[in-house]
Amino acid sequence: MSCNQISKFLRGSSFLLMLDILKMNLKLTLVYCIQCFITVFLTILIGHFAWSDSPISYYQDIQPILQRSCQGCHQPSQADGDLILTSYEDLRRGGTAGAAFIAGQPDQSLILDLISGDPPSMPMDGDPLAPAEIELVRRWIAEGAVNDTPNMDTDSAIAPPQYTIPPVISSLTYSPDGDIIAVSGYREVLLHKSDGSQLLARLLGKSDRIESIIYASDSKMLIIVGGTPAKFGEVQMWDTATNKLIHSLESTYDTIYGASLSPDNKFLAFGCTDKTARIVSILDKKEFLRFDNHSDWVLGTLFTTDGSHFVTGGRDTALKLTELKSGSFIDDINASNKGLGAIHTIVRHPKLDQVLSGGADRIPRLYRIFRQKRRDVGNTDFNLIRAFERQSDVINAVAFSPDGSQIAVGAVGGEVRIYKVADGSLIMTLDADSTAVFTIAFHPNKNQVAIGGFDGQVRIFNLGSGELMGEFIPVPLDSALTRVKKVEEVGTVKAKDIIKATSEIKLVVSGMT
Amino acid sequence: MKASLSILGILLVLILNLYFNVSVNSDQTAVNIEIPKITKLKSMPEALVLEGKHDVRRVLVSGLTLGGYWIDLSNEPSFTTTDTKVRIDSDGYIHPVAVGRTTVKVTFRRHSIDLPVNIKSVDTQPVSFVRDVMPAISRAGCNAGTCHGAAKGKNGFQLSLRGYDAHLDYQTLVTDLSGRRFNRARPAQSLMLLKPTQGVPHGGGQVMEADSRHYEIFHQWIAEGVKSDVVTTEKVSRLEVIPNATEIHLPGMEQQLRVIAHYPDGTSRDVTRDAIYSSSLPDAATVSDSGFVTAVRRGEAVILVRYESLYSTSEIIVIGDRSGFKWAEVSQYNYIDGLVYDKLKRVRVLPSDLCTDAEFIRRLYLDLTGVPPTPDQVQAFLADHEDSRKKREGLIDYLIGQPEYIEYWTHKWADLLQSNRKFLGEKGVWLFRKWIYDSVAENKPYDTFVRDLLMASGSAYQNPAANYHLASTDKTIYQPDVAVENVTQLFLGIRFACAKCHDHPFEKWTQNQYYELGSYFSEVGVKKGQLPDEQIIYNNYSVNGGVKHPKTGTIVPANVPFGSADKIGDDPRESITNWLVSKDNPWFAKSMVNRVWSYFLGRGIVEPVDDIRSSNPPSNAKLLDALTEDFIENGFDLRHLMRTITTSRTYQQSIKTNRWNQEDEINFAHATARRLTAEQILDAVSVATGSQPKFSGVPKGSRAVQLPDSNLDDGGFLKLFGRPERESVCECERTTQVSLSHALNLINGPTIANAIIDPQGRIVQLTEKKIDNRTLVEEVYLATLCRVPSETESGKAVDYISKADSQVEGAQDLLWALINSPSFLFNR
Repeated sequence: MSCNQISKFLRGSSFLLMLDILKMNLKLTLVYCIQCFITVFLTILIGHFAWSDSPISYYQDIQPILQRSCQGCHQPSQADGDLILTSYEDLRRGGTAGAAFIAGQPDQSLILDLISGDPPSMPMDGDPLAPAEIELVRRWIAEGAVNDTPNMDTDSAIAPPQYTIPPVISSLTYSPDGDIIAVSGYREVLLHKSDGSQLLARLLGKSDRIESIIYASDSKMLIIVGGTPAKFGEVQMWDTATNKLIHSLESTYDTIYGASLSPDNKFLAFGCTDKTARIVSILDKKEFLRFDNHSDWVLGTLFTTDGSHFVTGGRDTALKLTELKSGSFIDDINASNKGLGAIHTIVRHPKLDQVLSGGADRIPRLYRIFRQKRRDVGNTDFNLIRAFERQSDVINAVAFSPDGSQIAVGAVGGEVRIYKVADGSLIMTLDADSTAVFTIAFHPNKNQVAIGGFDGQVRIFNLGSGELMGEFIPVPLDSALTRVKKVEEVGTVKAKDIIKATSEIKLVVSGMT
Repeated sequence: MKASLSILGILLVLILNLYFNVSVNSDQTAVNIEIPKITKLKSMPEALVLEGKHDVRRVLVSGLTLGGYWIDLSNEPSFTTTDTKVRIDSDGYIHPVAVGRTTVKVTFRRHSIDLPVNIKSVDTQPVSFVRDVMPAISRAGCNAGTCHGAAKGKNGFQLSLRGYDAHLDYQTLVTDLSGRRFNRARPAQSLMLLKPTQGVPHGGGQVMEADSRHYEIFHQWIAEGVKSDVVTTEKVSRLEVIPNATEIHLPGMEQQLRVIAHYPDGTSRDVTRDAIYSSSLPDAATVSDSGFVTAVRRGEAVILVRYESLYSTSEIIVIGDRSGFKWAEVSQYNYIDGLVYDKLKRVRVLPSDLCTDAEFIRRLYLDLTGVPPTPDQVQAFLADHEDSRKKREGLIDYLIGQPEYIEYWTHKWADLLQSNRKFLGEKGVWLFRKWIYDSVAENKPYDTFVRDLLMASGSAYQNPAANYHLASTDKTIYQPDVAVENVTQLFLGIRFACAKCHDHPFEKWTQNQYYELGSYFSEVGVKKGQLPDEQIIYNNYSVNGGVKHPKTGTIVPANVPFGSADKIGDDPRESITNWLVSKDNPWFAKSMVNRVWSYFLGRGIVEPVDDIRSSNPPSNAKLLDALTEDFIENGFDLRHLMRTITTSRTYQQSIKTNRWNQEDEINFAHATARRLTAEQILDAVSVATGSQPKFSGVPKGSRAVQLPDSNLDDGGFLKLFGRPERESVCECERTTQVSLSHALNLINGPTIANAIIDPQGRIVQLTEKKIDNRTLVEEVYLATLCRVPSETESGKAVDYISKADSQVEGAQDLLWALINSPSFLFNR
């Protein structure tokens, strides 16, 4: 036992620490167990006299126990017994069996009943809590079960992230006038001039990951959707005039996906990992509707041209049509979805009620949203207009050209193929330098397309010639650490010369697949 | 006041802690076994070479006891170093610090040795996905079958089972959901680090500590850009476990294993802490997750070591306290006995004595012909004054090839080849049975037999061998995958079925190999013939060379999983057959030898007989090899093999055990009681009672083993006693356990009762001859247990019959009692 440990021990009065110290010295033997019991017993005994003036902290003492031993099964995505133990509020609320504790009355508290006993009924499949841990819970409840969780939201008043390696680009989009390209970073969206020549603004938020970036059709608002995986999902509404955050709305306990805005800019739809799709009213900044007809994560949403309906798709392979006003489920668009792969992304034809989907089975499919035929036996996939050719790899991004005549399909194998919608023919293949493509955007009025993905570089291609017009890293790199030789190494990319680099744009990452 | 109390309390706890620490440390040896006096130390290896900062290795240390054997002390000595070129961690691993040569002093009690260490480099390497990340994922258990390695993954996250597909796993971690699972900007915030450490809720619980080596590997890999080296870096190619076989003398003693991964580029790593261990028999020896084996009781355990897709084993024999054991020379009838005794000497076991002639004749008749000898045959054998060994050999030579022998082995083959009218039709089962009968009758060499089956084409009516393929056919569609599974399990003893969906979890077989094998059978076609239910096997050349791999959707070119096959000519079946039945195929002859051995000794040298794999090693590898070699040298002659086995002294041992072999189950130190099979019981009852069983659809007087398939029955008796339906090639389809329903059926069931009271039966016939009770009793004993009764048995039985209502009833009761005795129901 080092001096440092002993001094910590004296200061901290933590039972857990003491057990750790014991463990360091001993192997698990019978005597060790006896020792534990005696030690714990004595500590409890002494604790009653000596340490009652140092209250137990929920945040410091209790939450770590719950996190290690309980949260696996009692969490938002798997709330066994309807009980969630990831926050104080949820713990207090309890589950189907009732409230978890009664403040001040440990003997009446359900949680103690469940974690003690021989053998204890909880944790169900895990190791029982140590006697010292149970005693901590008991004391915390006896002391009034106070919540001392610090307010984490202040954390979002953040300093801009520093980067040594570019983060992946999970979403990018052009402003309606085509002057700006908005690109996802880590905890931020970066606004660049659309040729990459200048970084205009960094929109910093609290979500680690950005899944969708959407400009309102009137350009007044920029909506950023994402979240921090396994923690929370978030919708951010930004004022494009001032680049200020207007509102942040949290939703679910995980990142949210595949957002879309209604044509009248009034409603935002997105998919969730809790198998729901949700509609938020932009005006009220409140959830308007929750659709729970999917059986797996919902990864894509879109509105019909008149905004009366919305379409959702996801890992359960289904494409579902729902009426916005009533929330009524209307139709399974890909009714014969048996054998299809998970849908990763969907997008609507710019002018028509047609939906293009892409996903795990590598085949982009174009469907009519509203059916024109009665469904009967043997005629179940009547909405399918065209199944395009199978791609080289899993599809993560699809896009329509502004006039709806072409589509772009991006696969994780590192290429984007452009097809003619009318006959499904391949127009050209854009080489993304074998980096996985996660997002594609057509320029609204120029004949070009921007793609982003795994290596964190934006690439812009001319759709006339198929040439790479430019590429840039949207985030400012902390170059002192990482500036290396790479530009020459990658030399095969002919458009290297025309990078209109800002001072940050020095590094080209390569060879990452 | 409170403060002083508090200090007092703390001091008290500290003092108690110290007290217990001391006592625990001194008690530790009391819980385990006392380490005996050591006269010498040695380390394995004797010197270390370290190359690179992450090349961290341990050594094994052992000590020579006064008893003259080495014991493992790897976790006991202290390791000290005189300079700072290496660092030694708390687990005894040696880390390189600076380039150069140094010496680590290994000290235990008064002994010490020097371990030279040559540090060639201390360079750091980028983290390799293939060599660092994948093993860490496996070790944490993420890709286990119960977690994300499940067929559909877990909670939307799917890894390949036990990491057989590194590329797929890389894709899943990196490109799935647009890179959700890592965070290059803030590596510590990556989902793949937060989940296993329970930084965010994780259904699988906490499987990694935030400051562990594996955490550091994940962290560094992400910080370096989540790069893949799946294409450029070769996986581990050989796994070395040290020691690969050892004896631990007493329960409580230990053995540390050391596991070295060798790579194709000539480098190696100490992966002892990253390998995954399991014990085949934890009752005998347990293994910790750091490769530390503890002997529990006398016995033999195999420690299976897995690292990446490779498996290796360490065979542990716990000798136990055998003081007083002394080997006594036992005669050897042939090479089998010498090899069996070699193993017995190693594990300090003495073989049983020979069985009696009466025991032998019953055992041999049942094993070779499936039916016990008649009273006349027993009496003649017992009365023969020839030397017992010669007499027994004579009987063996006589029985092999007898009609009963042919019937019995025809029946056995019909089981394994799934001769079942569900597949073959009624006419088919008769024709196929006849074809098998002829093959057994002419003692067709085993390789020719299998070749004839696999290559058979044409109408299954005209060429009955073609019926073999119908078991792999589902409604006129030939199933190459079923063919692969049947051929490998039946003729190689290898279970390939796991590899249909993923690489085999306990062996080296891959999913690719499964489909590569399948491609050899892709051109087999089945079509209807002119006659009712006639089916024709043909080569369907319209099918284009191979089966599709379910993952890639592309045609897999045919290839064999080991060795090499001829180039495919006109018929792909020809090259696979040549490869299969070749003398050079290490499994073909061996699996058959093992199977046949199990039919006579009650247990395979590898058990189960059709699950040969490195994690299920033979209990006597030399014996299996010798039998295999002999079998091949003698032209795959099954009769020769059976003769060799049955003429060995090992086969002729008594079921009675001695002090030294009573616990042995796997080394063939004594005979084992085996319950008669369903057909054997019925045929033995027929011999005992003299009553012929009545089966519909077969000629009167047919034995149960002459039934063509399980469709012909006798009121459920055979089914109850475990006759297989013949829907599987697995030996396990036939069962020979004993249960209450079996006992009740024998006691009360109509099958036995009717046979006993049959007016044409033995008892009625005997009593009509007006013989005395003593002779009658002897006849009944001979007919059931194949021996004469002892004086006491005879006296009691005579007494019972004389007090019975009639001689007939008394004798029938005796017969009933003997049929219900274990001596009747078991082959002993």
